Amino acid sequence: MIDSGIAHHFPALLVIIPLLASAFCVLVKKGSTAWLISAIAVTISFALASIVLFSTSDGNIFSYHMGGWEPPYGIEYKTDILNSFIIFLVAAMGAIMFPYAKKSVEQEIDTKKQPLFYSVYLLCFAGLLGILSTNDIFNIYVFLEISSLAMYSLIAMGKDRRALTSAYEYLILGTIGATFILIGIGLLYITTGTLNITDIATRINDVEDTRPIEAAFAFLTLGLMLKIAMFPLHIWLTNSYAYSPSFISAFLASTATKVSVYVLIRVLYTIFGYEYCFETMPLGGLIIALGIAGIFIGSITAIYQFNIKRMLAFSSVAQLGYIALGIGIANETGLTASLVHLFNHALAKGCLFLAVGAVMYRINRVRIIEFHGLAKKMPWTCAAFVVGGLSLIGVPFTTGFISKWYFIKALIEEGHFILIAALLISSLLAVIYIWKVVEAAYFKPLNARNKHATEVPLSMLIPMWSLVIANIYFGINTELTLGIAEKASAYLLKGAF
Amino acid sequence: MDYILGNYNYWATVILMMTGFYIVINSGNLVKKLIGLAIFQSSVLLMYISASKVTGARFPILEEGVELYSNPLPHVLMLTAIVVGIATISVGLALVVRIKEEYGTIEEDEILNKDLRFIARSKKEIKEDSKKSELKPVIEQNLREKKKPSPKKTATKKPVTKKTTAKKSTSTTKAGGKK
Repeated sequence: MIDSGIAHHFPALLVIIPLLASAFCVLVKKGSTAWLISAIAVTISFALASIVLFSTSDGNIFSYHMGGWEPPYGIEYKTDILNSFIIFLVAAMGAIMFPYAKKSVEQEIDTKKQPLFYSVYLLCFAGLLGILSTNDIFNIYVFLEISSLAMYSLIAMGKDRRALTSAYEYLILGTIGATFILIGIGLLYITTGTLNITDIATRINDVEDTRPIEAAFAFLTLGLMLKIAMFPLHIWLTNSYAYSPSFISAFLASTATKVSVYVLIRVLYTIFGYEYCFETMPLGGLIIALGIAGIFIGSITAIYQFNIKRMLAFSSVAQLGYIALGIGIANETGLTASLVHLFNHALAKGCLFLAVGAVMYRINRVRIIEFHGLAKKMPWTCAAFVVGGLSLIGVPFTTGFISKWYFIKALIEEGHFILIAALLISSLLAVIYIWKVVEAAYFKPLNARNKHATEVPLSMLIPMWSLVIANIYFGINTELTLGIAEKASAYLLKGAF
Repeated sequence: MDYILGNYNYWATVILMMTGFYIVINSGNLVKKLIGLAIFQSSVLLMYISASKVTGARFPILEEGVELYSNPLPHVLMLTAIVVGIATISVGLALVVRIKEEYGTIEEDEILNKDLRFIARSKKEIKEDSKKSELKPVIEQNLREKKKPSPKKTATKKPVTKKTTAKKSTSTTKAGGKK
């Protein structure tokens, strides 16, 4: 479907359109005009991403040559089932959440800065899509920096002054991570003489047991783990999610770290290959241990937070632990579980952050005390929070259940029975921190300050509830998510499905 | 000895990298941290550039009779990396300017202290608030039960409570934003 005519350019266009639109946003004076431009760009990207996903879902691989240069010399954009799935996720989250941005941004950002905000948002969006589309490893670094630089400034636009320090913290750690990735790429380039991922993957077998490759492996995994915010390297994530503008928290929580997870999967499974990572190198055990530690420490810290956004950020650390666990188990079911959880966690966390953002919109603060008795005043928002929370916990008929089920299945296949117990206990920890908020909203008397809170406008409710419906729909009909994730993990481990 | 002298370019890379990294970790001044970060980033440039050198080769401009050229690609890649580095440092410096405006200092420990004080204050607020919110509904209920037959009086009383709560909320947001 996308191998002829204009459709041939779709994988490149879905990155280029938001990139161009971001330049137009700078020229515009009014925030609402900039919003309109970005809305159009994001929607087009989403439409193109759906077409790309549709045409790659039966195993086709499309290669697009930037500027007509042949692949090993020029930059190649390659879409296969794995990255088109995550491109779809990022574009969908960006497009579905976008109507929410208008009201939220009008309230949280200065009128003068609004066009710039949308411009930077589009840069971030294009950067994330670029990382996913490209098949050139240096290009990944460039797009990673485009999206990260955009993220630093988006986070710094938060109302709270701590947004500035957290953005600074993220800048320092993010740059160290990116530089590590750059060193890894450099070592790979020196030893293999190419930057094309497919090319590196074929040539790496000849030089596999040299020291530079070992160093490249270490630098790349460490740098990417920093970008993913895996447990000991998660410090930057919690503060920056907690204090950034609410729309940005929701967008970053559901896309940014997921994209880095994709890069890690690509580097481990496509470039270095399964045998090198998990048999020659002891990476599997390390990732599983860090994942489990992240799950527990993230969840337990989340219980003690009184700022709800911070609580959700710590819960994100825990959920990234689950995803890492699946990568570490490294069998087909484990990888499937990780990919499905990538999708499902984006839906659940997006929904939760949008609900909290709605409370922020009305009440200006999101400590647990602001939630007291809120269910009477903002029933739809609170209901959305409950569904998102259920999905996060993994209750049947929500998306979270599907991924947890697959994690347990993968652990049974490998015989890690202690880890299954750990997984179940950690789900109970999620019940505690979600219940704290639900209890406050539904069973506590009304906080006197919230007397005049009313339900948020429809433009904010519709994105929130689309995610709620998606959470339930993909929990019952798993054909899209699970089907594609299974195919993608088979493709990664066996080369075909 | 040959190992040390023969690879001097890589030793320079490693030393620069570790110096930069040490400055980032060790210094408490936000600008100094950025300087360290810049050194850390630029050490990588040296690594790439030294990899492009081919012994006995000419600079990569096509000419007759010359067979061996140096590799031009790492230079191009590093041009991009330099641009990225500049962008990062300028965003970082812009953030430091904003931090100085908001906090009045760019020393890490002083900023941390100010944040901790702020958190302690807001925790206190929460405690007071939770006491109030437990008490208030009870009082309101009593009022309602007593004054059910005369709806006019409750109507006059309600705006008063509105005003006080509104005042409270504005004063707290000010305190939250500016200190």
